[in-house]
Amino acid sequence: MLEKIREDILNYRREETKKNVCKALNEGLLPSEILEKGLLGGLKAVIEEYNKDEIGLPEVVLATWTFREGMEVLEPFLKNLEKAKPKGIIVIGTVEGDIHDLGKNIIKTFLTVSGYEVYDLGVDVSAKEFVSKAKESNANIVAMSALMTTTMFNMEKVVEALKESGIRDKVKIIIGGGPTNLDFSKRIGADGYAREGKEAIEVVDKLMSEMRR
Amino acid sequence: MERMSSYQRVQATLNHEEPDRVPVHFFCSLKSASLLGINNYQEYLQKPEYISQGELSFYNKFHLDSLLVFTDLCIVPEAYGCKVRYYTNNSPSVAGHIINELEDYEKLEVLDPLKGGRMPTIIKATELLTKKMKKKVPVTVGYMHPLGTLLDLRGRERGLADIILHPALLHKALETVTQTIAEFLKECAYAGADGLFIAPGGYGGVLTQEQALKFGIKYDAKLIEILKKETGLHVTAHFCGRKPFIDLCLREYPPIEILSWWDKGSNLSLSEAKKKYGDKICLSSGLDQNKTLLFGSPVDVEMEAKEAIKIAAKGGGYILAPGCEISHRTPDENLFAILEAARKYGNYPISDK
Repeated sequence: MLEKIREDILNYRREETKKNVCKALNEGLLPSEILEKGLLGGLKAVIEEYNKDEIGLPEVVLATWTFREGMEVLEPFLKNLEKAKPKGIIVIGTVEGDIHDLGKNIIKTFLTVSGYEVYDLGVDVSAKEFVSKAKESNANIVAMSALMTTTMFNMEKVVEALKESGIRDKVKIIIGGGPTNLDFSKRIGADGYAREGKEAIEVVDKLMSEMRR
Repeated sequence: MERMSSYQRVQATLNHEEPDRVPVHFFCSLKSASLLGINNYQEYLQKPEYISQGELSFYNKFHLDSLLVFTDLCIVPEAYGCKVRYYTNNSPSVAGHIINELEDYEKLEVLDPLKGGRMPTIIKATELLTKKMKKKVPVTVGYMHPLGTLLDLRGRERGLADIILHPALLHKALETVTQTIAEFLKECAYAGADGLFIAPGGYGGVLTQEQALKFGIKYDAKLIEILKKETGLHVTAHFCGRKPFIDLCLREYPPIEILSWWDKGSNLSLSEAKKKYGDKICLSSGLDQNKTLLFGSPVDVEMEAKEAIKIAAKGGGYILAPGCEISHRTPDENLFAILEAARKYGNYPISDK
């Protein structure tokens, strides 16, 4: 059954995914196992194909939608059990003035698949909202995206707001998006920069290990 | 005193002849607006007089060799009825989509550019600006590619998913949107534009090559074909992003005159482009808008320009330019340094030193 669910994700079969998650639960499979080996297993395979340029974002979008449908069925059962401890907590969003969400959503999928708990604030997110959610969720990482040369400077406002709120030393900041680069991330006082999903996971993993030291 | 006007310089470059010096091009509509003293970009975008005057102010300050009217990517989606979010000091974005149900794809019609949204504003701005420039400086008008426009009508995620789920609907809608963009740019040409600038996006990292061919490149090629046939103007293909499928696009497109891309940040270096395309297509790149121009010093800009000229200018067919729109926060002194470098190192015949 777990293999079936994995295949459902790989083939974007949204209805079958829901049905097969129900079946797996009825058969007594552990919700954590259904998540790890079924839903996440499928999504991880899709991400690997994308990283190898074998598929495009349309496939990743569909697989993510299918994953979400499966999660809707599974989530209540996961809540009744002790969930596997996430690798870390991430607050992600596209900065104020910018409503591009495709890249940010893909990065969110990559990070979720990689074992992080991700709070997505959406697009056009103010510095105040980033700070508020980072505090509320005890976030380890704040991840920001900007797709425009005009909005990338709003990332600096978030860094400043995190400093002013007194939690800058408790969170690491990673940025990404078309016009940004490593130099820019250093210039605004962020801790990391990633061009795409695979690199984002590597940078976030590295930042998390630095925090544990 | 320079031997050629900007118009002659660009014309010679387009003909792959050596002009008096390397021409210079860059653009930033937000900066044009602020130079005019209009600090509310939404207000600026509504009046053709502002846009033409803003570009003229930009020219008067930086004396570049060609001007580009390319204010934002919302013009066609807004004309179709999409909700657009405006900002005071930022480019607008599409915030609400019009293709919400699948049947909405089939309702799309070709728009009249003289009536739809801000299309008439841009057409009028083009007319005013070209009249003012009096063929001293070429004026180009730009717009986004059909697939990018359609994705804005549908919403990016849903639109990408439809590539797999509903390809036939997408193809039909792409035909319509291609025609609308063509009608719009044709009117800009009739209003006096000297060239057209299409931003195909590049597709790499978003679509597979097969998807890009079927849903993107096919319609870019159609658009370019219509524009070239009906206007006779030169066409610039501009590729954004880090992994554009430039080779594939150029193989499929009708011949274009100018290739504009981010050589410093993408998969095609300036030297490789010169080898591959330098004898057929003018290359417009060489400066990093996100690094050197934005955060470097005028000396850094001068050195980057010198290197780019050394790589690409010999024999003509080269425009010293950044790989995309510059940030409005780019220091003026760095922009002055571009022209200074072109005058210092870009005089033909180009020295090997």
